[in-house]
Amino acid sequence: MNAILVNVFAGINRCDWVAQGVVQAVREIEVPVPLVVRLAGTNVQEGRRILRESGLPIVTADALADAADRVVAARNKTLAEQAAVRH
Amino acid sequence: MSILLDEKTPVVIQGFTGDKGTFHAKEMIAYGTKVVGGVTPGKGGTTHLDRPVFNTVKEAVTATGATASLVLVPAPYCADAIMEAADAGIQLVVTITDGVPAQDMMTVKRYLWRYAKERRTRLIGPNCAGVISAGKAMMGIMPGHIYRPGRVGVVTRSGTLGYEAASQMSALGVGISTSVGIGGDPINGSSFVDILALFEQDPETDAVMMIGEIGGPQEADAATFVKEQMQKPVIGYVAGLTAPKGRRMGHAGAIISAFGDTAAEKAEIMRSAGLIVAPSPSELGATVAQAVAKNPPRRAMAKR
Repeated sequence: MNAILVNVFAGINRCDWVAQGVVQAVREIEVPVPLVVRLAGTNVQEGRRILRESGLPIVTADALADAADRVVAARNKTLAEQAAVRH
Repeated sequence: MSILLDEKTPVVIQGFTGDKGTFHAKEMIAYGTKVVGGVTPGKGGTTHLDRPVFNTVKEAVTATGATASLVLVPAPYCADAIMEAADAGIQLVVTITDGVPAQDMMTVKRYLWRYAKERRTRLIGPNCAGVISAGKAMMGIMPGHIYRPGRVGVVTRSGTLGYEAASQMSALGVGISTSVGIGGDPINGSSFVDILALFEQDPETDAVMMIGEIGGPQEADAATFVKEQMQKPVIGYVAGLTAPKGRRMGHAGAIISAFGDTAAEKAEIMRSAGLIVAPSPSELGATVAQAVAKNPPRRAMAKR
């Protein structure tokens, strides 16, 4: 695995819950690859604020296409770094 | 006009006083929905969110004149809640709950068919996001702020992809008349065809986006209906291009088990029936915007 994308458009779910879960997970377990989180929908402002104020190295995106571009870019960067280490 | 629901529709909520019922009732009221009360057996006579609570749907209908009900009760009690609403004369029942047993749904459908067609209850869901007439009213769990009022109808099995379509369309200045989540279960109350027929008749809807997924014959039936019975342009999308055969993908009904169940096959069936098919979930809005620009409403063309 070279990168992780979390994509949630919340309806009955809520972005603040999702953001809390992501922040808790990143703090408790070591995530060795880039993490991109895209939040939209119910309580989106609160969710984005939690991610922003966590101070964690989480890449965020507002739209689906944007999130896909960023996670692909992050994956390519991971692969390039791994290749550089090997040489 | 929109379909199914507007700001004048009196709505009761079954499961009003629960956690989910309370949160989404507040959202619905804030959006402008005419929520006239709720039903929670055992809490009749109390008030919740400044509205009356009743023990039965029949009492709620008698006291408030409600014609629509949102079902937010746990799965084991859903069938009973839907049939109770139908018995009380409710015309539109929207069921959000996931996990209603298929056997229960067979009982519910058989029960609804006992009523004469003129007074038969229309069921939306279960396992759906609900119904929203943009700018007017909503019955469901969707984030209301993403829907721009306009003239495109949306019908979808996936709630999330319905939200995705709405927000992409809104960003491009394309609005929605009504968006209907028909739900992700194999046996549901209303099908794509049922909702497409309503949109075709609605004078305030000019085009329709339908978002399908793997599993079941609904998309193929809808494509035939579009080809043979509809004048309005229909834009399609089918989720699950990379889904493996035989694995349930989140929804109970989203499983490739028979010929024609895959996303690629369904998209091809749609294209051959004359639908415009969006290439990816991030291009739902752009595909609709292009189709609407190319197909101005026939009425507007006739005036020129």
